[in-house]
Amino acid sequence: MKNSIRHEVIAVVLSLSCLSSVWTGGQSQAGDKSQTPAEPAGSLRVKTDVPEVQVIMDDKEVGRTPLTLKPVPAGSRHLTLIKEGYEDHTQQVEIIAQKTASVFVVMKPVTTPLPELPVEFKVMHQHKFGYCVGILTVSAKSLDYKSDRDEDKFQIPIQTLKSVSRSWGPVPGMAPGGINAQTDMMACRIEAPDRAYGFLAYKDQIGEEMKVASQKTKELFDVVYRLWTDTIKTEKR
Amino acid sequence: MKQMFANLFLALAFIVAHSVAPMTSDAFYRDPAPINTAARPSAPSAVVAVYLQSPDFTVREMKYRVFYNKGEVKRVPLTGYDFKASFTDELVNALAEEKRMAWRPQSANETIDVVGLLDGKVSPPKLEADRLLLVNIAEYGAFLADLAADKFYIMARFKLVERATGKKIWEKKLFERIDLEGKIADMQADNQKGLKEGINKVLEKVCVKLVAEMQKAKI
Repeated sequence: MKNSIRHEVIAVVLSLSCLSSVWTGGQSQAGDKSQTPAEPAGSLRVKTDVPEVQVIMDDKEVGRTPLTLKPVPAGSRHLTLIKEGYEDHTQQVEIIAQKTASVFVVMKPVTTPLPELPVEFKVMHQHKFGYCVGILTVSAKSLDYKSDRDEDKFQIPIQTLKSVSRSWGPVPGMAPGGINAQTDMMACRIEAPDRAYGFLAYKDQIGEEMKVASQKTKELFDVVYRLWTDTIKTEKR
Repeated sequence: MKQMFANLFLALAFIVAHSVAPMTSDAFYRDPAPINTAARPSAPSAVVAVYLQSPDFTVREMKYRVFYNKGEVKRVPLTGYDFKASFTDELVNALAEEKRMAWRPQSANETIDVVGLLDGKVSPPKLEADRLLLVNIAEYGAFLADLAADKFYIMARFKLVERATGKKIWEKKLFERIDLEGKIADMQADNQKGLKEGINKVLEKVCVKLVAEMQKAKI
């Protein structure tokens, strides 16, 4: 008899505790975080010039670029950006509560080797009116041009170049329009201090398909552009 | 008999205490995946379709002379930088502030003729969306002139249309620019760091301005 009364008492106590637990919404199990004031947080947007760069924040991988992280606890955060073929990038970012911090990083590629220099290109050298045909030899120091009929010959030191781009050249007029076209069709334009030069490279013959010629012009542009931008880097250092 | 009932009650109470109570907490209902609070479920869906006329950085150079001026268009391909993808991502991210619509970028298997739709020459394709935000980026790059400050710029046209009919809801043209500090040649060093950072700033400015303009409009 005593035993059954004891069971009844336990049952009542348990059911009461269960009811109280239901009534309070199980807050004790939900965690005590709601009891403490929320940590101040902001957000962080991370972008890179190349996509899919791995982002590590405070030694924890958080995703790949471009990405927006929120909430991020306010304070100083350590960011590391990693991508194969590029140098790792690290920086500190200050996160301010209720604000979005934005980071844009230009990743530095691990230096890719240039084609073996000097390299020769068969080119059409643009004149103000018409053109001549010859060989442009690109070396680490200069560009040397010699036309097939020996009527034109010059050397352009890479160190002196003002710009390297794809263009049809300047057009006199009132508006800065120039001749606009798809980049692939444009000449490789090299600006030296005294004058500018335009070259269209080709593979075998002048009348070949545009896509073949434009590919060769792109190759010429890529080599000269790379050599020129390397000189800017050297000058700055 | 009484003891059996008491034991049964005890067991029931135990089960209730451990199964019902947690369900009443907020934590139980919390979705582990991030909840999209950008738009209410009733908000119309909109697809962002971006068309870029030239993928390359354009340098417009103006040289003034005594009797005439000389203009030149130069193109500098940006290595490894997908301007269209960056612009689309930034725009969709900024549009999350415009909560009257649920925005998403155009997916890889959706074909949208942005130029044709902007000119009203084609009808909208069948997509899972209520609206289309058509973006035509006419050009991005730098403007260099002897007699004025050099600038980074983006020229773009935006048009929001009904997906079903192609009817225009809202339209805006933006020509945003910021000062280009330094020499364009120096900006091409270190993997074109200066060019990419400069154009990224204009890109962010365009997106913020577009969203502000859209929020002002009665759509």
